[in-house]
Amino acid sequence: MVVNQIPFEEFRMLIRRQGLRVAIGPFNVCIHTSYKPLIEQLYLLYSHYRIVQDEIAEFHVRIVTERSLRNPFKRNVRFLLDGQSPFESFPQEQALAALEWGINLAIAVRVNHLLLLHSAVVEKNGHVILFPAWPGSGKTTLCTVLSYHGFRLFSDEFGLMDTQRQLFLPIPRLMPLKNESIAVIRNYLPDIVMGRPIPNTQKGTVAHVRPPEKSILLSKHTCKARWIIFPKWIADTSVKIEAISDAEAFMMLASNAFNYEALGAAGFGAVANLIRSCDCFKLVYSDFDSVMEVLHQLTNET
Amino acid sequence: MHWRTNHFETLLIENWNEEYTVFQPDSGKTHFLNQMSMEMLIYLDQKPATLEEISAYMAAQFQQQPDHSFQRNIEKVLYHFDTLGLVKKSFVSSWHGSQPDSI
Repeated sequence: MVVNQIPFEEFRMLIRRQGLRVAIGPFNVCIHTSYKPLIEQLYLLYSHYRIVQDEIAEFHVRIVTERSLRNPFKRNVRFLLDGQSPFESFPQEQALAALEWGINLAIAVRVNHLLLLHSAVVEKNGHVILFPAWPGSGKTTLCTVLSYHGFRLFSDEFGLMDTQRQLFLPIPRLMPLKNESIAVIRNYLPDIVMGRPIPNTQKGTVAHVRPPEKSILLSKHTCKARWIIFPKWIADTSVKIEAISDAEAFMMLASNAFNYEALGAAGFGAVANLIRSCDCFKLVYSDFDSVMEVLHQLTNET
Repeated sequence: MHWRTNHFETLLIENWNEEYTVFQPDSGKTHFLNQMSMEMLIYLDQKPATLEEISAYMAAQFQQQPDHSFQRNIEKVLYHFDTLGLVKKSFVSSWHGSQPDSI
C-alpha cells in the first residue's frame, strides 16, 4: 500500500501515533510528527512511497515543536534521530527542510555497508549515469529535469554502491531545488508536484520536488554504472562534454564521497572498479534542451 | 642523508595510463601520482639514495638536465612525500637490507 491509498486522516493518525514507516530505496524510515503543516506537505510529497508498517525501520526520525528560547511567542521545530538532536532548532516553517536534511544526515553517517558517493544518479537503457558534484553545481536541478524526461531517478544526492556486486541502489527522495532554480524548474516542468518554497533557510529558498511515481515503484531495480559525468551549470554557455582521464575522475569521485575514507582499501578498490567500468566526462551546460540532447545521444550510442 | 620508501609494499597502486592512484593504508589516504613521481618511489624502493643520486637517475630517465633547478624540484617532491609518509630520511651511509631503520 502506498501513502496516497490511505485517507489523509488515517495518514495523520499514523504519523502522529505509531509513526509513518515508508520504504525509501533500500531503507525503511519511520517518521513521527504532530506538526500539522508538515503532515499535510508529507501527504502530498510522499504520496507514492510504499507504507511498511510491519517492517523494521533503519532510521527513526521525528520532528517536534518547541518554544523558541529567544522569542517565547514563536515556535521552532527540532529534528530528532533516534531521540538525539544533531541540529539546532529550525523556524517551524522550515520543518520539511529540517526533516529532509536530517534523513540525509542519517544516511550519510549511518550507512557504511555501501559506498556513498555524493552524486546525482539516473538510469537510462539499463545503465546508470553518475553526476558527482559539489553543492552549487546544479546537480539537483539537472537531475530533476532528467528524471521527468525519460531518465529514471535513483537519487539527486546519493550514489549508493554495493561494492561487492558493483551495483547502484536507487534511493529516490524529494529533490530540494534552491533559489533561482525553483522558478526555472516551475517554468520548464509546469506539471510536476513541488512543495511550497521555504525561504531563509541556510541554503536560501528551498522547494522540494516530488520524485516521479515510476522511479519510486522501480526503486528495487538496481543497475551498474556506465558513465560518470561531472556537471557544471554556467550561465550562457554552450553545452560541452569532454572526456577526462581515469585518474582525474578517480580523485574527483573519491574526494566527493561521504564514506570513501571510512571504507579504506575496500573503498579504493570499489572506486577503481567503478572507474574501469565507466566512461568519464566533464559537462558544462546552461540550457536543458541542449544537455538532454547530448545525454540522450550518449546513452543511445551503446 | 639518504631517502628511502616507507612501507612501499603496503601501497595499493592503480595504473591509469601512466597516471596513478595510490592508496596508503597507514594514513587511509589516496594520492594521485604522475609517472615521474611513481618512478621516483619505485627507484627508492630498490635502495635508499641521496638527493644527488635520485636527481641523476630521474634526469636520465626523463631526459632532463640534472641542474640545480631540477634537483631543487626533486627535493621539493621528496619533502612532500615525506610529509605524506611515503618516504623517509635515512642516515645510514650504505644499504643493508635487514638493518633496522636508523632515523
